[in-house]
Amino acid sequence: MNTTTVVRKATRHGLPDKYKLFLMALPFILLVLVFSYGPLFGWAYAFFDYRPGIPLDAQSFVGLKWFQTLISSPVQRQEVIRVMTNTIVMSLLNIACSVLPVAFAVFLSEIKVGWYKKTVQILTTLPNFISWVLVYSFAYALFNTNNGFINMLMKSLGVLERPINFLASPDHIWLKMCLWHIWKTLGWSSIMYLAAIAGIDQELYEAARIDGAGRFQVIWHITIPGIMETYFVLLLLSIANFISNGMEQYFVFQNPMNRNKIEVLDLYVYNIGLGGGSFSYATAVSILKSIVSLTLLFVANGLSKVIRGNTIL
Amino acid sequence: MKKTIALTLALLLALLLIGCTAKPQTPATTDTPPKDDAPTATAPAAADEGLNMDELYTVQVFSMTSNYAGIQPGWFAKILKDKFNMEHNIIATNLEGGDSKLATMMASGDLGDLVVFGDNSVDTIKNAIDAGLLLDWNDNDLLQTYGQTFLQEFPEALEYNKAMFGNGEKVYGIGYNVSYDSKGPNEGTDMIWGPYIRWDLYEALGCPEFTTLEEFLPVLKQMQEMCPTSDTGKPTYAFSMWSDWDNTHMMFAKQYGAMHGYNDGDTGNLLFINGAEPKYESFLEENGMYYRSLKLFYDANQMGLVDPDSISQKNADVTAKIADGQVLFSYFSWVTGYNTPTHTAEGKGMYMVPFKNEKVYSYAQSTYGGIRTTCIGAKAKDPVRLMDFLNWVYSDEGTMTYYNGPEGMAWNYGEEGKPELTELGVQIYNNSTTVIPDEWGGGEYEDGRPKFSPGTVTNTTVSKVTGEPFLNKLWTSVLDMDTNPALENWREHMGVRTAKDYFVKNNLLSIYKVPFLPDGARMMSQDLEQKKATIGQIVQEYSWRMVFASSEAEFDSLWSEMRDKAYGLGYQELLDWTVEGAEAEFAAREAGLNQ
Repeated sequence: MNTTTVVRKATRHGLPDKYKLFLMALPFILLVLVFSYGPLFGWAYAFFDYRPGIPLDAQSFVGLKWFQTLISSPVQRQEVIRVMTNTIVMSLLNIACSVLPVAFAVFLSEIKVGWYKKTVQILTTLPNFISWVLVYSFAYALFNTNNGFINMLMKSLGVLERPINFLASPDHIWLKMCLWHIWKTLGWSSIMYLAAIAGIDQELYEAARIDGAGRFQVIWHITIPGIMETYFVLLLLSIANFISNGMEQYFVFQNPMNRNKIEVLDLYVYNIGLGGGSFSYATAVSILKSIVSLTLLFVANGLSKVIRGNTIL
Repeated sequence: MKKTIALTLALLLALLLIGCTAKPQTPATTDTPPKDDAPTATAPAAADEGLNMDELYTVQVFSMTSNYAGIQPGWFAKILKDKFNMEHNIIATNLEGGDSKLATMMASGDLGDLVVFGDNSVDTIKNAIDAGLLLDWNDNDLLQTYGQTFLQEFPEALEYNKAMFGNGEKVYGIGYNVSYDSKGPNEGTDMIWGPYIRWDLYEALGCPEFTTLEEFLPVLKQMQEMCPTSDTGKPTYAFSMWSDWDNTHMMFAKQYGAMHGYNDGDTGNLLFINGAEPKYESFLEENGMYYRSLKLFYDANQMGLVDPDSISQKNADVTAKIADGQVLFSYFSWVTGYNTPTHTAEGKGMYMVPFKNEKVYSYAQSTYGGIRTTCIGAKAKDPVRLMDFLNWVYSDEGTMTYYNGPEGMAWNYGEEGKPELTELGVQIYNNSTTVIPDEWGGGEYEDGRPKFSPGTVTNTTVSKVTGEPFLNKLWTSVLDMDTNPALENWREHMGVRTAKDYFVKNNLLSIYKVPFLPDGARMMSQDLEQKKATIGQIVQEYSWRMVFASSEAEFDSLWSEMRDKAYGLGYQELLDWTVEGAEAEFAAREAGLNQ
């Protein structure tokens, strides 16, 4: 009885359910095709001697030449290794720091004074909405040698005789970059954990307190386990993004003194491709980047399967 | 209900499909040669309609030389409006992304109405021509009908452009700084290079003489000790540099070559070529000029003479510092903003102090013009009006206006038709930021100067109307007037009226004349371009690190590391290719094919 009505309804509207479902999914499939697969057409540039403005069919096809260039000489290989090292170190540092937002969220949630908690949260979240260009102007205003705050302060205190150009110093540059990154993202990243903490059953806390648990014991035995799930999902996602750690930050902070150490893969592609006009070579590099990313994702997924028993793919 | 849902879905799908079929065409349109639609876009405008100025024409000027972006302001804007019913919207790569901006514009298939190419642009111009982005000035007899100035006054410049870019047939543009004839250096009162130092301090030290550039350092140190702070109390330095003009090397380090008669022709190919003699030298030569230059800066930094901000600041910051008196030394004559009337009246100023081994690089007046080329875009809205405008700008009247403002505002014809400064003109001469009355367009004089071109006719060319050079500094009436206590001191000591006089008198010039290469311009292969880009990044980076190295040992190890890396990345190939070009140029010089 039931099935016959369904069939009848379907014929009346002219469309069986399976097509309807497909139609509903179609817009999103198309979006993915246009914005995620369409741009892959640009990969073709890696196989040509591409000069902007001239149609592809009028350019000379060179096969895998640009990929070979990548490993053509020992120095070139060293360059690739240098850039990969920078990328991996920066990513590892950022992943290592991903526990900080967790800790921050936990401590923030322990604050009982409402206005103070809110103020702290707003102040730490705000930097996320400032673009890296503005962050750099801020850094410049603080650290420049001519009238930068720090130099002026140290000079008037008599600590310094000659101003120091902090922004041009390559010392501990990885750490400095990591600190800027933390400053910018700490508050924002902790929002997810704050939500997770809010979702923990209050009865658990009450029960623990009645059993005589202290503040840190409550955090350790209830809050932390409660947000671990969220942490692992975010961690896996960030591993998949391991190799694309963005370029804006490094782009604005780069100068000849520190570029050696902060030129990550994305920035290298930009500097050589758009800065140096070698589009084909830059495209070849970024194709390799996609391949490495894909490999990393599968490795992370495999690890997740072994360690936690479930996968995200 | 379900029907409506189904309908909405279908509609949505249809919309998306339209969006999708349109989408893949976007790359297709950028990839189809703009050649196809270029003639259709330009043909009717040029041939049928003739010159019609009824409508305000906002000219998109895509400039690779301008340091100003936006609508042309001030007195030149008023001329454009009144004379041509035009305004210029300047798109300046210098301010908006550099080479990447250029690449984006190239890929979009439209370079705007007027296109002004910068240094090292042979490849860029050739690419733009191959991509069909530039208009042939012979199309629809554009040049014949509206460009008589070019045909009559600058035929050799057109021939040169034809040979370089148009396979001997097509004319795609006109070089900058062209001249009616070629008679000696094209500079005015000062050469491009000095060196220029704080004359008052130098004089107080008894004017010690120099044989080499290196000998300046101890004297500069003494000068710094004499004058440790600027007008506003900031610390002084001998050298304050900026890095945003670097490309394949440290721009400042290259200037050492120019003081010895060598330049790299702004190609960025890392080879010094002598202006007059058939000699060249690699940037990476052991103990060569580039090395010695870096060493000079390194030593200066060790002595506390280099502004630590050099690496992070920009050109504009340095200009401000110079005006404030924070900088004691300059390679260039064009960064002497310190010489304001207030300073010079007190006897302070930056003036040229030569050294014995100097041979300063100089550009000859050229009937071919320089490589910075002004072209018309293939998709220009109205090529006729653009040609009409260019024709005027390159004319005698246009050139006078370009350099000195409109007749009647800053200058007038005096007795015997010789140009003289008006009262306002004298004010402007002493202070280029003088405010202009509204009837002339308002704003500061300096802001109102033409931004679209790096120079049309060379300003030292002698006008056919007045019989005097276009540059007001060289007018008889101005030379008589132009004096101040600091300059008088300098003149007395040097025994000449201008820095140029000094170099000419002592034969210390290495004059470069533009070569006419019968085979046309050469183009670098993509392989070599890629090598140049990677090598260039290394050389630029290491150069700065060497200057700021903490010890001599570090300096030397960075130098050899840089050399190893550059050669490892294929520098020899780039060198061979560039030397080949230099040899061709020497052959052209030998045959007298340079102007």
